[in-house]
Formats: sequence, structure tokens, C-alpha cells
Amino acid sequence: MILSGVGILAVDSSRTRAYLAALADAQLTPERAIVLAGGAAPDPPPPAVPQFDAAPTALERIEDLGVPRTTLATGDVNAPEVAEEAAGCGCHTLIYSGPGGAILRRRLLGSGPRFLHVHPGRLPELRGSTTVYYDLLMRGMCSASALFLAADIDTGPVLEVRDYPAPEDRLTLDHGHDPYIRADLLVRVLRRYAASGRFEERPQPADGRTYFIAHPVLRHLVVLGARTPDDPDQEAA
Amino acid sequence: MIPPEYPYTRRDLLAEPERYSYAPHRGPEFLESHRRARADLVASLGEASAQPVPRPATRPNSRPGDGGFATRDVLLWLVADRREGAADDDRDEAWTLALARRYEITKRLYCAYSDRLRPASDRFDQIESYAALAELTLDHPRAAVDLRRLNVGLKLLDLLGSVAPPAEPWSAEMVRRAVRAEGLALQRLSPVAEMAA
Repeated sequence: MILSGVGILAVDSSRTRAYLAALADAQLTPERAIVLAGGAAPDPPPPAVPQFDAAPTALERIEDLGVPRTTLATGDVNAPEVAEEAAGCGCHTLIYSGPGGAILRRRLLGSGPRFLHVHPGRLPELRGSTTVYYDLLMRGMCSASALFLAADIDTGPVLEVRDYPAPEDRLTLDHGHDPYIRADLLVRVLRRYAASGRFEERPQPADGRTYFIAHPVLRHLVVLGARTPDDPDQEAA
Repeated sequence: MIPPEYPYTRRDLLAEPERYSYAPHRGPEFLESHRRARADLVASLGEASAQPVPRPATRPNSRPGDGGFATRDVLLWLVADRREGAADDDRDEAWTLALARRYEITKRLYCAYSDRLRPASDRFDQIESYAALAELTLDHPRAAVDLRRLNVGLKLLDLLGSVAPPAEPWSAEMVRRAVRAEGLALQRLSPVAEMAA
């Protein structure tokens, strides 16, 4: 099924590969694709993970899906040509799967389409960076929130928030579990859109907590095994 | 087995900030290397000191954003208040988290800020400010619960371990307290950290 009015703006990454694999499995096809294929040094190919088939590149997936695409020779999501392409793509919504850590500037945000993003954490409690690690440290589980991007980080209107279990192998967190749960939520949101023809969104409360890149010690505690703070059973153990 | 060298104190992080992006997984030895780096930091501080933190002349505003301020004065006042049991919890929390956020964004504490928390000085080399913020974030009951505190405290102690130790005994004592509190917060958070301790 073609997702009318919905395209995808992506770089080739674990997240994009997970999104496209999940969309293919769900037989949901974006109307257009804008692929950022530039950048100083391409990232190494994502490692194999158990959650999805990460072997096909983003371009291979897009071609398999038969999505008309534009490839831009930039890795900078805020480059003028990206905003120009977004403005002229004919979509009212672009699934956002850009470079990790990039903050969309007003020129792109104001180019016309809205940007549908899946954030790895419950909003508004967990805004910011590497929130999947904080979620695991605080609650022992993962979560994802689908939202439309706004100028302030992770403050746009929310479409759905969902909890997910922790991965069995936490070494797969970055390239496997995190992209997988985001892809799962994306498909859930897009299935509802395909059925109803509209996105159901709600504004976020202003209050929330913003987290910054988790220190490597905290990341190691997550991967090597952590308990949640104030867990009475584990405190007693 | 000798753990590998802790990678986040090898260079002067004041001169060349660490962003912590895409940190690789280094296995359980990494936690041991972190523990050893902190032990080295404490060893560099010399003897423990009971010298009080000097109280600045000016009391800080009740919250950041009410006016420009000298960073060192605010932080030392808050530490002095806390040591004397006179801390105002709301004011302490507001200032600590606001300056922690500044540090997370720029990886520096500028000597002065405007009322909009923009740097109002080109200098960012007052080591005692970093030491004070490390103590304020980490030596607090919420350090293992509000992970914003523990996260910024870990990064501040990396910076303090990457530069020459503070000269004043009261400043060194702030670092010593922060290291101790960091260890306790990590042990409370994870049995893995407990095993490495």
C-alpha cells in the first residue's frame, strides 16, 4: 500500500535499514525518498543483528520497494538543497531518519512537510540524547515515542508512546534493539494513518527532562547489566 | 591483569573538550580502568583538608536568570551553604541543574554568565568552579536517582582528572568528596559497579 503524502528523508544507517525492513514487511510504501548520500567519511556498515535483516543498504531497500528517490550528495541534513528538495517533494509528511545527533534547523522545519520522528524514550520524561540508556538504567526497560519534530528538541506533538522490553543481548542495543523498537512504533503509527488517512497527535506538556549524551561508564553499566534504582527486591538481594 | 588506560583523562579536556559521541563498548575492564583513574585523581590531591570553602562576598540570586553572575562565586556560596547545613534546596537545585546544563552543552564553565545564561567572559579556566559543580551534582541524595546529576558529575571528574590538581586544599577537598560520592552513586545504581569497586 502506498502511503499517500508520506515520504522518507534518510541517511543509510541501522535505523533507516530497520525502518525500511519493517515498512517492507508491513507492505507500507512511502511515496518518495530523499537520501543523503554525502558526508566526509561514510559510516562503517551496520553489524548483523538478530532483530532485523540489516544487510541490504538503504538504497537497495528503497529500490526494492519501488520508491521514487532523490539522492543528494550531502550528509548535512540542514544543507540548503535538503530544504529545497523537501519543499518540492510533494509530501505533507517526511519520515525522518537523518544523521544521529543532528538538530533540524528552522529552514528545513519550515520547508513545508512535517517530520515524523521516532525518539527512543518516553516523552516528555526522557528528552534528549542516548535516552535508551537512561531508560534502561532507571526502569530496566525501553520505550519509544513517535512525534512531529519542532524547533525545540523532542517537544513536538506526540502520536504514540510505547514501552518495550530490554534486549536479551544489550550489545545489540545501538544497532539492533534501538532501531528495531523505533521501526515497530513507526509501523504502528503508519498503519493507523493508512487506515484513517490522518495522524492523531496531542501536544506535549511543557515540563520534561532533557538528558545529554550518556557517559561511557553509564553505558557500560547498561550493557554489562544494571538494576533499577530503588528496586526493593534487588536492594535486598 | 592490568586494566587498559582510562581513555577520558589522557588529554587536557579544558583545552580539548570530550564530547563522548559514539563511545565504543570496551568490556568490564573499562569500569576497572575508570576506578583506577579516580584513585589516581584522589592520590594527586594530597592530604585531606578541613579548611572551609571561602564564602564569596555576594549571595547568589534565588535562581539563575535573575541577573548576570560570576560562576565561581555562585558555586562556592552553594557549597559553603551546604557544608554549613544552610542550603536552600530549591535554589541549590535550580543553580546546580542550570550550570550542569551549561557544562553539558559547551563542556566548559565560563567565569561569568549573563542573565540569559550566555557566556559573559572568555575565560573558562577556574578549576575550583568545576570542582564545586562536581561536588554539588554528585554529593547529593538524588545523584543516583536523577541521572542528569550523575552523568554530568562523571564528565566533570574526567575533566578534573585531565588537568593539574587544584592548588588550594579546600578545592582539592571538593574533588575528593565528589569522587567518593560518584563511587557511592554508581554502586547504588548497579551491582556491576559494585563488583568493580
